[in-house]
Amino acid sequence: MEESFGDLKGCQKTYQKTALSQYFAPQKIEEALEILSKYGEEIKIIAGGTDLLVQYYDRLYEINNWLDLKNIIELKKIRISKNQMEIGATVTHSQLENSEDIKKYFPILSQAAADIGSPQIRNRGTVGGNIVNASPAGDLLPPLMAYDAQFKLLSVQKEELIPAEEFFVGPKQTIIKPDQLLTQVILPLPYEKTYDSWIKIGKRRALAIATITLALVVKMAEDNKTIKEARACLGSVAPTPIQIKEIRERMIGKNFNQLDFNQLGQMVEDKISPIDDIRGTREYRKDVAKEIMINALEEVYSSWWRSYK
Amino acid sequence: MKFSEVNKPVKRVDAYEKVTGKAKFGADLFFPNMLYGKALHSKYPHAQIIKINTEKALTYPGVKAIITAEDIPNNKFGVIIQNQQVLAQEEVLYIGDGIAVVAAETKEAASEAIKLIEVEYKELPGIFDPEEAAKKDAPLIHSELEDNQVVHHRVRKGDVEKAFTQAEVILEREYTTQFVEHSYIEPEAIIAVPYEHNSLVTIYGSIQNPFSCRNAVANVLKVPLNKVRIIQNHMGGSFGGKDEVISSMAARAAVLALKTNQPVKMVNTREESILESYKRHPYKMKYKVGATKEGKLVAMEIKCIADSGAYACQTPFVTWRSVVQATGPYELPSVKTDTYGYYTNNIYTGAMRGYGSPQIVFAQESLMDELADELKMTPLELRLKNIYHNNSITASGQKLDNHQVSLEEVIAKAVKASNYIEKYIEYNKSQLGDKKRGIGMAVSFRGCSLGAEATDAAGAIVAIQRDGSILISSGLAENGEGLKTVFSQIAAEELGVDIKRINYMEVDTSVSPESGATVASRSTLLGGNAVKNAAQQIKRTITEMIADKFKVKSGDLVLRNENIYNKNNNQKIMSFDDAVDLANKLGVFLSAYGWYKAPDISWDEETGQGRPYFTYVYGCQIAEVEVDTATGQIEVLKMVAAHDVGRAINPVTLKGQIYGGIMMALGYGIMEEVEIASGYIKNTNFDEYLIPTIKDMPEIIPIIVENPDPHGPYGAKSIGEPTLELGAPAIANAVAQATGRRIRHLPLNLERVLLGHSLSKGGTKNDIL
Amino acid sequence: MTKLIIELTINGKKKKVETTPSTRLLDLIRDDLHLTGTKEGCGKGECGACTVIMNGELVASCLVLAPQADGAVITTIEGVGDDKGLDPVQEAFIESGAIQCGFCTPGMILAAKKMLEENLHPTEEEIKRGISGNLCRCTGYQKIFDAIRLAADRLSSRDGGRGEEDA
Repeated sequence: MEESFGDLKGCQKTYQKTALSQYFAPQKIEEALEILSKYGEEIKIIAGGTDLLVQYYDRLYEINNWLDLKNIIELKKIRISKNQMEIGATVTHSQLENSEDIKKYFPILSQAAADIGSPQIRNRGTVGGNIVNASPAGDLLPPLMAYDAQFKLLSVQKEELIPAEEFFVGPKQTIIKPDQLLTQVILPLPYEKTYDSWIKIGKRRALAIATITLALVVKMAEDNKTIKEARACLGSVAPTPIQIKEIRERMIGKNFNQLDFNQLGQMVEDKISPIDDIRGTREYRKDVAKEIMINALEEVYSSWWRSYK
Repeated sequence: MKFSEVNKPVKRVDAYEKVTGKAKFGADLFFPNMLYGKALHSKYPHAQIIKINTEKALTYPGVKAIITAEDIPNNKFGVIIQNQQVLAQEEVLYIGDGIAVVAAETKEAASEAIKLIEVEYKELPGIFDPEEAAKKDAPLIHSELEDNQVVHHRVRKGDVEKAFTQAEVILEREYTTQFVEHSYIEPEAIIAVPYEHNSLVTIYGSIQNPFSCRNAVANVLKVPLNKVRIIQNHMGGSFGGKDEVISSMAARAAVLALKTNQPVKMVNTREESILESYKRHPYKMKYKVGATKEGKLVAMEIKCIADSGAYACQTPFVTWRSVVQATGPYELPSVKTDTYGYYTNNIYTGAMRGYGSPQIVFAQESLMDELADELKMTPLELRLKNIYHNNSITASGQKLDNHQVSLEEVIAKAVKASNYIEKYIEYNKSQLGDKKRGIGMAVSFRGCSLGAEATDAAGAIVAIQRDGSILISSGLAENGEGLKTVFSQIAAEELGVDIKRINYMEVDTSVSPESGATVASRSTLLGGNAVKNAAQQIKRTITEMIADKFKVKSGDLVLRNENIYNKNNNQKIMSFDDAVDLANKLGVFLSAYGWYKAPDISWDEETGQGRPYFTYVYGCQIAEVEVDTATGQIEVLKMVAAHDVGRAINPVTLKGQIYGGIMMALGYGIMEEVEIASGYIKNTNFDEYLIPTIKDMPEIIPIIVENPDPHGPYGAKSIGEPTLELGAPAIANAVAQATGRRIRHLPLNLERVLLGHSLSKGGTKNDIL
Repeated sequence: MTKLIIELTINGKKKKVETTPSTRLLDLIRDDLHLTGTKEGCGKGECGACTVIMNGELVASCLVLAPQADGAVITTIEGVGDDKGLDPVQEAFIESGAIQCGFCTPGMILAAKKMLEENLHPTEEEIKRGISGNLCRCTGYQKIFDAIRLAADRLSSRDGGRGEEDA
């Protein structure tokens, strides 16, 4: 709108929008999908609202149609089904933080949720909102990626399961289509011994959007000596949350004592190309990425050591 | 001395309405037929306005009026220099300059109409660095002036050049500080009501200084002062910040209210607030200090350049306080100090808690630590060798002989409470791991009240009602600090009555005596004396009335515990209520107008010599920090703050000032910065402009030191601002000890701590993630 | 503009309010219900001045659309305490001198109250976490912290240790 100051066409469009305003709050996913298929881009989906209302706070009246997910009970559930954890899209950060199952199987997802904003934000903000909003600084995204999450997208026509790494395409950009609804996040339950670490650097201790985040998940083979899987995912260092694949390649099949943490830290620093923004500079982010990678490895190593001995 | 009401932790008189949500702040007021005003701000930091077309906007449903500079009777205002535009006339001079203001029936209509105003600009090159502005060939920000200099203050003492030749150690250092936002949690709010009672316009809102607001509005409207009435509401914080920005908002709302003949309410969003409101001055400071090997200071040469932004605002006085206090509280035979303010196209800068001291205290206290390092002595030793004592002569040639100079006392108390000496030694040893600790101190002296800036006097009315209840009205305004409570305590103390009798009225410029502004930590000292003076007059009236009737000497009568006693035999003569009844019957007038004028001061602008302030306060703060050298994160573990306040009228509200000042200083020291790139402000809300949360709060130990001042009410002096000026340098000194690296620029953010420098942050607002 | 009727229970009273899809709960509370104890400080959920308790949860009312509150039970500062007197948290705020300008106070009290409802024996860290979403620029937080501690002590002694038994 800023660009159309004084542009009469732009303003008439606004009049019409306001006049036709609609508010939907269906109880069933199917109804929501119907509405989406009808309105497509002409409707805003609202879950917790903690991103959307921030974005539009002084111009909410510009939004003509709303689809409120609050009445869809199905989307609020966390449950274990077979070998996987299913997290409904409107599960709040507080739910993630406090869920015993999440704490048990996906501890750093719970920690990352606990690190978000403030009680007020955690009580309203949702996992689905965090994903679809696709901020490079979205706190839940590196842990989700590190735990190999898949996102379930539904439309009237079809159901899709998209791996987290394929979902994000740019800052605030994802592959989701206007008629699709993110309904679930699916995480494979770890049956291996898993050690993980979450580090968030912000400019203050609460209510801080991340300057840089790191989620490291390491799974051990049955001998609890050989690394079977290792995923290091970072936020706020690229247009999307990213996994440093080279870390995985370097770590799999190795024992901890075969690894040079310093070198792995350097690898992270070398592989990222962050930008300067208000929360941090490129140089700072590169420098500190190395340091937090080393810290994360040390944390993972010491919890492994405790269980090993 | 024994007191019944003062020097006690009396509960705040405005607490009940604040905990119940009943307290009305500016935005909480609603009037029938009220319109909503909204301003269109500039698109550029510096541009010529070619044309403004409001036609389309005027046709938007619900829009009642739109004003531009053309509609303002007198478009320039200012407390010191009248060069601030109510609305931009020919040029916009900073990004927050207003172009037009809409009044509409709804907030949405006002917002939409703003977008329909067409403004044709010719963008002009801007000046964004005061050193650029100072250059001879620099383009003029204000074309009517000869250059871009707002002000130049000097202090000249002794022969500095000669003194430096005698110095055995000389250090030269440069320090810089940043733009800072006041961050009062309540954004600015104003309601202008036309033709209410007998006023042309009545203005309600979050107004720090009702009288300067009245002056500005009357001046803008070209009407006498008695036609404009300002009524202060509960104010959600100010810290020096709700003065000129509020005056401009009030003037805009007043013009619209008179034009539409309807009340007009204007409430800033946080973005508008940060975009439009003045900030703390960034300073560039060059310090040169000479000392003997033994650590005795011999000379100091200081040059400070303040960025005034688009307007003069308070720059002339802010830089004056800096020039007086720039050396810190150290005896120096030779001093040469120059402070300058320059216009730029940055956002304008003005009063903020500290008022020109936090910048120079950061520099001088960092410098002292650097010098101590150079001399291989501890920061404490160096300070103790040079600090002021009774009868010391300041850089301005003022002999400190009329009050207790308690620097050594505050330092001793802070050092003890913080375990400074042991911790300093411990943290000097090599520390293992990424996390390193350090401890640092800072000390200061601070002139109380306005000093030679302006005439310094205040008034108050104390009025006993028929039933013995009491109304107090002062020209100074509650800013949230507890002024109402403190003034009520003083009146109750003098009249010997329970504080519950007292109702403290909001400032109403048509009733309250003009008292200057609630600034410069002067309220308790000046306003408290005025309240005391009024109460004493009433006390005299009561005692004389009783003396006359009971044939006793009025001098023998005392008022205490709700009664009047004969002090010779401690016999109760009558109750306070009976005395009020008697006065009612006899037709004795039980109200008084109190007045207090500060003691004389003097100042020679050419030499900077004189008695700039009539008294001073002294403080010492010690910070203990832990720095994560891997990430640059600083955790402030503990702050000890010892302040001589003369007398604590209310120890609880006083401690509130210390806690609040320390947290604001912590923000100043390690996280806060209004980031401005070529005049554009990048962080315009609390998601990007970060102030401390409770999680950033260290352990804080306040130490109140009381050396009663002969001039203060019951000996009381100042506390609001001194609490803020010491934290950042104390933290910086602690971080330097922890990391072994000196940071000479505020804030000590992640980049500076980790990398030792802050990079210029690229990109525009739109690139921000 | 489309109008909607929503029903909510606010401070124990049922209300039907006409609103629009794009009205924030904060505006509904302040402008329509004139409960002005709920403040706006930033509009972005960063300052906590607009905090209310909605369906038993602490929320920033600037980040809730009015229709999202349809059917909700809401407590604002005006619903804290009753005719008989102030809530223990309000009392503790007064006694500890936890109030300065008072603008953050309603949100702070609601955050503190909510936290103490869930946890009568909060640790230092839990108290800080409980009000970490509420900014205060005056007090430096210390006396607010002291007030919450005082309220917790009083409430838990009034509780007579029952909380422990239940656990």
